[in-house]
Amino acid sequence: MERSVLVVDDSVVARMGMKKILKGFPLAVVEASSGEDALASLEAGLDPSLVFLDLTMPGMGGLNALRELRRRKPDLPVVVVTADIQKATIQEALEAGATEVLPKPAEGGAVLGALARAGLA
Amino acid sequence: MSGSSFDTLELDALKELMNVGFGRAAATLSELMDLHVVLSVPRVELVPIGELASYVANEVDDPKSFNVVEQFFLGKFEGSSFLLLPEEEGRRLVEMLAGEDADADSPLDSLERDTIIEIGNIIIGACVSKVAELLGDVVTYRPPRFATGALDRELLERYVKPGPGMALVMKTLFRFERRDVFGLLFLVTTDSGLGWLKRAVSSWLESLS
Repeated sequence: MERSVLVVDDSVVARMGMKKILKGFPLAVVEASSGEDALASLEAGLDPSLVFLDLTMPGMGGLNALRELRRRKPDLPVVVVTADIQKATIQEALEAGATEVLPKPAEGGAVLGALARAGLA
Repeated sequence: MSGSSFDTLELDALKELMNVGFGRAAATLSELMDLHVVLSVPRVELVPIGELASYVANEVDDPKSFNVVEQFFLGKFEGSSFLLLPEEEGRRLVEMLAGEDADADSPLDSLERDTIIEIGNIIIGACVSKVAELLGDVVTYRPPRFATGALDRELLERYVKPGPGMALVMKTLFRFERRDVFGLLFLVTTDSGLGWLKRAVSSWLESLS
């Protein structure tokens, strides 16, 4: 079965950038435009191998989505991709259960590294 | 005007670029002041230049007394950037950054002004430079200008002359954890800057598809 990656970002452009990087891999890329959408995808049966998650989003925001993802799927790798690169924010994300934190805009090498660490590349 | 129509995707791209720029500014400020800056989702809109003053006034609860740091940037991406801080919030920032108790009843002294200008410089520089860099441009800056007073048409029109055309307004709100200071940042591009920006964003989007 083809494995999937869930990309959660309120910006269409940020999702486009991530999809472009992920293009060469045998992975189904599923998009969500908010934390709420991401959780709804899981409720609908999506079982991703990896999540790329933005933090600064309307609604519940990325951090709350991360905590909820972690509660529902403790072993799911969740890579936070954020423009907010303050030490305190990164620390907060890691404490909330992020597997790692990448700065925006996501760069190919960093994304490939995250895929490799998740066993997807 | 060459760049007066941005479609939804192009506005989303600008919002994302602004987000990245502001993230850099927040990181610098948090290092400097040793506190966490809470970012909000930026908003990007096109506003007729003639309506800019009333637009800005509508964005703030109490426009009576504001500090304004304005800085002109030159390049293919060209225009003016404004950091608007309510006067009281400016004093709080001074206290946090300079460690001085500001007297709320007296006019800002030169250290307080310099501190606010420096904060403006950091935020404006990080945002504008990052947006320009991501779109393949390099900008230079004129020295920042500082003003204080009621955030009314007269104050704003010192910087943005009323006329035809549209201004690109990229607005973000930031809060400093524990002290809850807020401010607004606007970028108003020139006509030629707006045209270049549209072409650069279109070409950036093409590279993503």
